Amino acid sequence: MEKILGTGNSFTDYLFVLLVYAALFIVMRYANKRVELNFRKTFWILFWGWSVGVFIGNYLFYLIGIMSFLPWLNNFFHTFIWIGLCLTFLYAGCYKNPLWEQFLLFAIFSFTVKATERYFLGTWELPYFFFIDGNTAYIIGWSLMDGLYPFISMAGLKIVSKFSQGVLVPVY
Amino acid sequence: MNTLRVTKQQKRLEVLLNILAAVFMLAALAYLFLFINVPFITNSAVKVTVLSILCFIAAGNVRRFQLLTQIVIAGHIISELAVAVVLIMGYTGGTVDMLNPFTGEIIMSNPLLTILWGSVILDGVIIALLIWFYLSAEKSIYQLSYLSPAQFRTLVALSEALIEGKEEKVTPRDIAMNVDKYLSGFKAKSKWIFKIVLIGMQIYPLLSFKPPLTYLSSLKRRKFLEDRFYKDVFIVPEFWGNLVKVMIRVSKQMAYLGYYNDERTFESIGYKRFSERENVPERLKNLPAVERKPLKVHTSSDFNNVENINGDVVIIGSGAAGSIIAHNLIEKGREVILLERGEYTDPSQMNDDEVKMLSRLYSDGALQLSRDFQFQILQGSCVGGTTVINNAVCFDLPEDVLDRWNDPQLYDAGLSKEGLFGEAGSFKKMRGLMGVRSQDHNFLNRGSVPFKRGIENLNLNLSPNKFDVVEANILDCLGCGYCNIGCRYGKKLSMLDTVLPNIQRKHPDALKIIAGCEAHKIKGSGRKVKKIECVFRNGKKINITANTVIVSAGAVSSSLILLRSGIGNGRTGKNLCFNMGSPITAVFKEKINSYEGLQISHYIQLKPNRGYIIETWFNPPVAQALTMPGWFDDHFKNMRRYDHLSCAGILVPTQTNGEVKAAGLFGRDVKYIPAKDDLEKLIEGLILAGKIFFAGGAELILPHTFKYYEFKNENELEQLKDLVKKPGDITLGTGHPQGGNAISKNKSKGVVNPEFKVFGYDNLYVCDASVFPSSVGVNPQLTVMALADYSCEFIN
Repeated sequence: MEKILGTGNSFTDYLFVLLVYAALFIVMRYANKRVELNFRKTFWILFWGWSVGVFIGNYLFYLIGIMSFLPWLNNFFHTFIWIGLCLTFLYAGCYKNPLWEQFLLFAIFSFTVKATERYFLGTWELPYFFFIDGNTAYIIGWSLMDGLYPFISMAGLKIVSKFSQGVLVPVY
Repeated sequence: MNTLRVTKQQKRLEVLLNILAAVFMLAALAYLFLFINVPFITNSAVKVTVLSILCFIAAGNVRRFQLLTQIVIAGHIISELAVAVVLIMGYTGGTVDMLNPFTGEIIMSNPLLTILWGSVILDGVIIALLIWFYLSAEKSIYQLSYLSPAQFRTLVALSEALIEGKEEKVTPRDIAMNVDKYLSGFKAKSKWIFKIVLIGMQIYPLLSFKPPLTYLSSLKRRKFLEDRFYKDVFIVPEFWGNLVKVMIRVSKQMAYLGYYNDERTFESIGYKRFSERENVPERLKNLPAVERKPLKVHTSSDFNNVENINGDVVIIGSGAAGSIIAHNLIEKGREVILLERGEYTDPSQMNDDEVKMLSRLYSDGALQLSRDFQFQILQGSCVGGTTVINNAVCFDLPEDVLDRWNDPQLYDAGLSKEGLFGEAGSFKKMRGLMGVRSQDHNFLNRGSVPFKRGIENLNLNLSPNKFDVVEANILDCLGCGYCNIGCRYGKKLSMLDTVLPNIQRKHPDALKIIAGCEAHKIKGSGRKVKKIECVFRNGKKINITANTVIVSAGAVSSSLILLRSGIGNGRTGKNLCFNMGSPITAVFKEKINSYEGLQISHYIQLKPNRGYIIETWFNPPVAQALTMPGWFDDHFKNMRRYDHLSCAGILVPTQTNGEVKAAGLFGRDVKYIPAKDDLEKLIEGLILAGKIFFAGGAELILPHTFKYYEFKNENELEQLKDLVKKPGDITLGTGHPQGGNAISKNKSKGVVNPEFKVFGYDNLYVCDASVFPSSVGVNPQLTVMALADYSCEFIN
C-alpha cells in the first residue's frame, strides 16, 4: 500500500490534492470555458501522449536517480488528471498566446501543484535538481521543465499532424 | 362536448369512493368496539367516520363534489405525514391490543410499529388509487390535450376575472378550451412555463391566507388579482414584483388569446374576416391568388432513425439568408441540403385562424421570451423562416451603420461598400430578385390615414425627415392584413413563395429541403467540420455529412448551434442586439377599421436621426389584444372599440448588451435587459407618435404601460418620461434579433471573418442577422438577404 499511496498517506490526503486541482481548474476556466471543437482531437492526442508518457517517464527518471519516487496513485493523479486533463485544458485556452507567456503560466501552475503534493503527500522530495542542491531547487527545476509543455506539445503535434488529419498545430 | 355525460373514468372513481366509504365506516366501528382503549380513539373514530361520509357524498356526483375527493386525498396525506413524524420522533415500542367488546379480554396484541407501518402502506395505497382515479376522471371530463384539470380550472377562473365587461361572447370555459387547443398545437421547450404560471396563480392567494384562486368567489378573485398582481406589484421587492408581473402577464395573454381568437367575439369588436369584407370577391377577381406548385419537402417519415446522409453543402435555416445562399450556390453548380427546424406549411394551408397560425409558423409558438420573461422575441420557424410571417418591409442598410461596422476602432467588419451598394451590388440584386417595391396602393392599413394627417399637420413630412410608404417584397397586395400569420394568397414574395420553389423548378435535384429537423450539434475534427447531428420533432435522429456547412438559423438559433457545438468559445452569442419595439394606440371617434389593409404601411424617420423609427402597424384581434393597453374592463372596453383604433410601433436599435446562452430553463437562454438610453429613446419616440396621432384627430392615446393610462392631450404625453423608468413598466418586444456572431477582421471581436468563415474552421460559415456587429435600426430583412448574397462570393 505504501508504494501506492506513499508513506503515511491516506485517501483523505489525496482528496485534498484533488481539491487543489479543482480550484486551479476553476481558475483556468476563467480564460476558456470549453475546449473549442477544432481542438478536441488535438486535446485527446495531447492527453494520452502526456499522461502515458509522463507516467512512465516519472518512474524511469526515478530509476536513473534524477527524480524522487512518486507513489503510484500520486503518479497517476499527477500525470492523468493534472498534466493530461488540466494542463491540456489550459493549453487549449492559451496556445494562441505568446510562448513566453505560456511558459510562465505552465511553470507557475506546475509549481503550485508540486508544492501542494509536497505539502499533503510528502512527495517531490529530493535534495538536488541535477547539479543544484536543495529540495526547493528540485521543485522549481521540475516546474520550469513543465513550463516547456507548450514547446514540447508544439513539436509533438507537428510530427503527429504528418500522420493524422485534423490535428491543430499552433503557428506563431 | 357533452358536459353531462358520466365517463368510464368517473364511474370508476365513484365505485372506489363507495368502497372507501364502506371501509371507513367499518373502520369506525372497529375503533369503537375492538380498539376501545387505544389513546385518541375518539379522534380516530371521528376521522374515519368523516372520511366515510365525505366519500359517500363525493361518490354521488364526483364532478359536482370534486372538492370532497380532494379533501379525502389531503386527509390521507396529512395522516401519512403524522405517522411519519411518529415513526421518526415518537415512541413506537408499545403494543396495540384488540379487545373482545363484550368481555374486555385481549383477543390479539400487535406491536405498535407494525400497526404504524401497516397504516403507512394502507394510506399510501389509498392515496395512490384516489389520485390516479381522480386525475383520470378529471381528464375524461374536460378532454384536455395539454393542461391538467387543475390548471384548466385555474385558467377558467382567471378568464372569468380578466375578461370583464358587458356582453361577453365566449364563456370562460370555452376560453380555457381554446387555450388548451393552442398549447397542444406546437412543440416548445418553454411551454411548461404556462403550467407553472397557472399553478402559481392558483396557490398564490395562500400566501395571503386566502383559499386557492379557484375557490375564491368571482368578485373576491377579481379584487385579489387587482390588489396583488396589478396595484400592489409596485410596492414589493423588485425580483418578486417582476415574478408577479410575469405571472399576470402570461395569464392575461392566455385569456385574451382564448377569447379573441373565437369568431363569436368578432362582431362585438367590429372585426370582419377578410373573406367577409366588402369587395373581396372583386379584389380576388382582379388580383387572383397566386397558385404555386408545392415544394418538395422531406420529413422524418422519409428517414430511418440514425440514418447517415451525405451532402455537398448543408445550410441550417431556410429563412432570408439560408434560401438566398441555397439559390446562389445551386446556380454555381453546388448541391444543397436545407435544414429547417420548423414544419412545412404550404400557403394553401394558411388561414385567418391566428392562434393556429402562430403555433404552426412561429418559433416556440410565438412564446420565445428573454430570461426575465419581460421581452418577447418573435421569429418564424417554418420552411421559409421569418420571411413567411414578417411584414416584408425592406430598407437598405443605412450607410452610417455600415461605416460604423467597418470602423477599425469599432467592429472592423471589412465589408465592401461597393460589393453591397454598387451597381452590381448585393442590395440592388436582391431588390430585383425579391421584387421589392413601394407599396403605394389602395389597400394600405387604414390607420395610416390619420397618422399621415398628423404628420402633415405637424410638418414632419418636410425634408430632411423621411416620411413615406414602406417598400416591401409584396406584389399586388390584397390588403387582407394577415402578413404576420402567413399570406395564403401568394402576394408576399417570401422564400416559401418564390426563391425555394423557383430553385426546385429550375434544378429539380439540387435542393433537398428537410423540415421539422433541428440541427443539434456540429461535429468535426480539427479545422474541418464534418457532421451535423440532427433531431426531428418526434425524436428521430439523423446525421448529415457535408463538404461545406453554413449556419443561417437566425440570431438566436445560430448562436445556440455554435454554442452547443463548442464553436467560437467565449465570443459566440455575445453582443446580441435588437430593434426593440413598443406599440402605442390611438383612439378615434370615427370608425377606422385599421385591420383592413397592409399591416405596416408608412414610416417616419426624423433627420438628424433621433435613434428610432416609427411605423404604422395594426393586427388581427388576437395579436392586437395581446398588445392592447388596459386590464380587466379597461382592456375589454378598448377591444370593443377595436375598429376605432390606430396603432404605431416605435423601433429603437438597441445597444449590444444581450447574450444568447445554451443554458437556462429551456436550453436557450436570451439574456437581455434594455439599457437606460434605449428606453429613453423609446419613450421619446412614443411621445412623438402620440403627438402625431393627436394632430391627426385622436381623442385618446394609450401607451402599453403595465399600469393603464389614457392620455387626453399632448401635454399629458410627457408624463410617460416619469411613468416608465424600468423595462417592466412597459411592454417590450422585437421581431428583429441581431448579432451574436459578429463579423470582424479581428478574431477577438468577432466570430466570423469578413468572408463569413468562422475563425478557426475551413468549411464552416455563418451568415444571417447574427453576424451583424450592431443593430441596423430598420427592418433588417433586406440586409440579411444582401449579406447572404454577398457571402456567396466567398463560400467554397
